[in-house]
Amino acid sequence: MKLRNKPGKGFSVLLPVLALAFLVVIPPTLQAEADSSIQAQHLINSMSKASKELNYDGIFVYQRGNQMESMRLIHKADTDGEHERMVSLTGLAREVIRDGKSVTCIFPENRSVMVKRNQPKKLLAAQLPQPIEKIADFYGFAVSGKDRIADRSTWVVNIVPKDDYRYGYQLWIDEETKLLLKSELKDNSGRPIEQILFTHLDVVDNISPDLLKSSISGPGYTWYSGSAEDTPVNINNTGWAVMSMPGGFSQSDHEIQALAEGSMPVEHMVYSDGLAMVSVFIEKLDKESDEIRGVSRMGGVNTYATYTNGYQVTAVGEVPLKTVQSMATSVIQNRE
Amino acid sequence: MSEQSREQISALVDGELESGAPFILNAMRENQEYKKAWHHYHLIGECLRGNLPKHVDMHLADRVSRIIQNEPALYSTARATSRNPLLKPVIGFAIAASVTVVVILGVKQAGMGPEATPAPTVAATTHAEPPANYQVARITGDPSVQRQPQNYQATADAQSRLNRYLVNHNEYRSNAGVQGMLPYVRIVAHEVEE
Repeated sequence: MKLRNKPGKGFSVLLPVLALAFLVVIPPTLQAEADSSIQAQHLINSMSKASKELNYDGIFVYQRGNQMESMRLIHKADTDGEHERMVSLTGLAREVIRDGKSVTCIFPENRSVMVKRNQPKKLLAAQLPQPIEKIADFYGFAVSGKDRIADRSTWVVNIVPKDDYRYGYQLWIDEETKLLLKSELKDNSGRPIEQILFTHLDVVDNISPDLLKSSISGPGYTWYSGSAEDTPVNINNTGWAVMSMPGGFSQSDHEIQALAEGSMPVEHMVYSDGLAMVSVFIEKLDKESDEIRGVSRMGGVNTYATYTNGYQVTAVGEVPLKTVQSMATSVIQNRE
Repeated sequence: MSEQSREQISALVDGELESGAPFILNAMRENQEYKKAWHHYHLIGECLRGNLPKHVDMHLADRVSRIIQNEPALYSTARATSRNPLLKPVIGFAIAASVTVVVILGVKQAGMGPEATPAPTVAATTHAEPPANYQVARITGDPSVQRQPQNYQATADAQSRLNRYLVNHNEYRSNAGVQGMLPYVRIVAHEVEE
């Protein structure tokens, strides 16, 4: 460019120009990464918003380990908030129906229905997503390309944890609606632990209320529902504390509630790094024989249970085993 | 089953059977109908006394019986201590019957809360089959796991506790700002034998 106008100056002039050129050339690579990261974060924020605000009805496949099944997801957003129904299309027609007021789980295998009342404050929380900048300290974000899912064009977004205390994700986000069409939860070696894949998705103006009703008929089913007394109590300090947790995790909620009939109230502490979430449950046991110790796993959810001084302490979360283990085993009660 | 037999079982349940208990117990061992009547009378009694929760698992004792039938270790011990071939079903029934007692006691405990409506917030009574199924990971590298292998035979109670935890965790998860997975998918999904 400029060199063409000054042909006779020789190498000594060229050198600073080359150096300048490096200054100009290298940053664009970094800039591209930053752009990709920002674009990815922007897409993820749009996805969170779209999944809450749109009306849609889709069929997806869920896979974990060697198990694969298909489900239907119906979502409606109106002035009352969100309404959602997820029903299994394979095997027994298990269902989860939720809205701002309650979560209803239907298990045809033992003809039982569980109803869990929501707290009003959680609706507020739902409207205030975690700032994604906070998450960016512990995960790398990138848009890795495009793909086609359920006959729709998608962006492919990678979320890679910066340490091995959390899992990564690969997300396929619809270009048009920003809805999540495919997701893989990945372990620390990048292998998928579980995935969902929409095979069909309709984004519509209206969802008929009938679609959000359970397909089961009431008679013959046993309903378990929470009464007003079960409303959880928010508490500040009962002395229980998790002493060890990975960087970036902080307590996002704390409540005490009765989870079952005749049982002692259960203390529930929620910790999050903005993306991953770990619940720590502390429950006084009447008899030691009821204790659970050790690990269990359900798809991407790991659970570590331990028992201390008459209390069952259980950490549950979509994080590697060592994260729930270190959190559960570090729980102590500071006596007043 | 005769009306007289029904009355005898009912009396046995109430602790008022004056004679013929061995006959009824033998009949219960041989005859499913007698056994069912025994279970039902217990339930009716508890129901009348207002001790029942909203859900009672009618098949717990049957399931335990089946497990006992398929439990070779238990029977090999029994055979080693006695040559009486009749002992096997007796043991089977005795344990199943004691399970019934446990069920009833459990029901009593569950219903003894001070409030009129004990109303479980979520999930299952202690005796219900766990709804969403937790799978026990067979992780061999973890020494703390290997120290307590017996805890892996989680009781229905422990299982249902884990399930309640999972539902509660998902409830929070579903309201979190950013999520890469559909939270309730794990509850709708069915268990697999791994």
